[in-house]
Amino acid sequence: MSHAEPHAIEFEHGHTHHVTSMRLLNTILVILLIFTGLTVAVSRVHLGESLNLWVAVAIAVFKASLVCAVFMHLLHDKAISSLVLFFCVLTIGFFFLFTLIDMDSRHMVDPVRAAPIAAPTIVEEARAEAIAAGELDPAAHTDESHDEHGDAGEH
Amino acid sequence: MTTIPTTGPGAGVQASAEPWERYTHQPHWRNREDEFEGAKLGMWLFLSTELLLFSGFFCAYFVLRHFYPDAFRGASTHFLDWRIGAINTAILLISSWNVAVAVRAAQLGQKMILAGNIFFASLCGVAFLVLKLALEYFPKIQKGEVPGAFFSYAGGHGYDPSPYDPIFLSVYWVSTATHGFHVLVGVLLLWWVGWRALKGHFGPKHYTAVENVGLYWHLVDLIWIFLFPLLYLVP
Repeated sequence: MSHAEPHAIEFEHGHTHHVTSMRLLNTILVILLIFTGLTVAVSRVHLGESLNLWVAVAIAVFKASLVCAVFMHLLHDKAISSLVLFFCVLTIGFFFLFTLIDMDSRHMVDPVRAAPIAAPTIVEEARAEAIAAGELDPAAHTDESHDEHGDAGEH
Repeated sequence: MTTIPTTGPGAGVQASAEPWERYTHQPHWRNREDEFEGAKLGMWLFLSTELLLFSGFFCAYFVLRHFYPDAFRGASTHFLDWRIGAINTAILLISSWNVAVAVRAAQLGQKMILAGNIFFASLCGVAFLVLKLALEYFPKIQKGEVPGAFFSYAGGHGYDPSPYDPIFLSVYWVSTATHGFHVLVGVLLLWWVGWRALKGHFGPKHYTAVENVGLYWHLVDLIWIFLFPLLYLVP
């Protein structure tokens, strides 16, 4: 892969297709592998629950952008492909946004619903503890009980 | 290599030409370019529905992690080995590079580089699945580290499972198994493309299947790029 690197080929008369250079493909692979190492390293550093999550997501978004731009040729593709991806991501954004609004406003509707839904637990100790502490009716079925003492946390 | 057509479909092509040189577009398309771009647009639309499918799992992940941060931290650290996840990430990234090189080789008419990279990428996919099944899924099923109500992990090894651990495992199993199924489909598609490449179906004037299966394989890689840190690296 040394001399005479074509940047485009004639696919059909009047239509050329971009050819990605080997150097760029290699560079992208190296960056992706380095950032995989980085995301592991960052997870070892305690930055706080939400900051760690956002850093991990940011690195993943960066890596995904490189894959889309170079490996999936969006950089040199017709705009329509990027547009499809853009509206897809926008839709996912609305999906996440409305879920977030729901989670942050449940307590305004019903205090009970603001707490996490109690998981039907297989771990018997947790159930026995709750019964011993008088927080749980032994007769009540796990599925219907509103265990508000789960390890819920607001961050 | 025989004469390459310069005008019109199949013009000036000798009988001994590779199949890709003889390729003519389907009659309902104006030309090969429109056919290629149309197929690629269809692929991108399909890929966007795939992203929407996985966005449901990611949404569940964020909601449940928000509600049960301690369980997610404990379960991720105890049940998952980040080293397996990291190796699998590297495997998929390298295979993505192979597929990108394969598309380039198809554009340049390098048949053996095309087929070689496609088959190597499919081997990476098989390695991913073998690691996943042998080191994660089968031991997990044996130890009862399975989703929701099927959870029967007895604890031990200095770890006391939280009652919410099965929730983390539900997210883990559903998202990674759906992703794993996509890897399996991708491997089968790569074999199909590799086999056709060996028969000389793809070259500078026709490589639609290489391009689109490549896009699919990159998407599988893309989703794993998000799954790996979210599932294996909860600090």
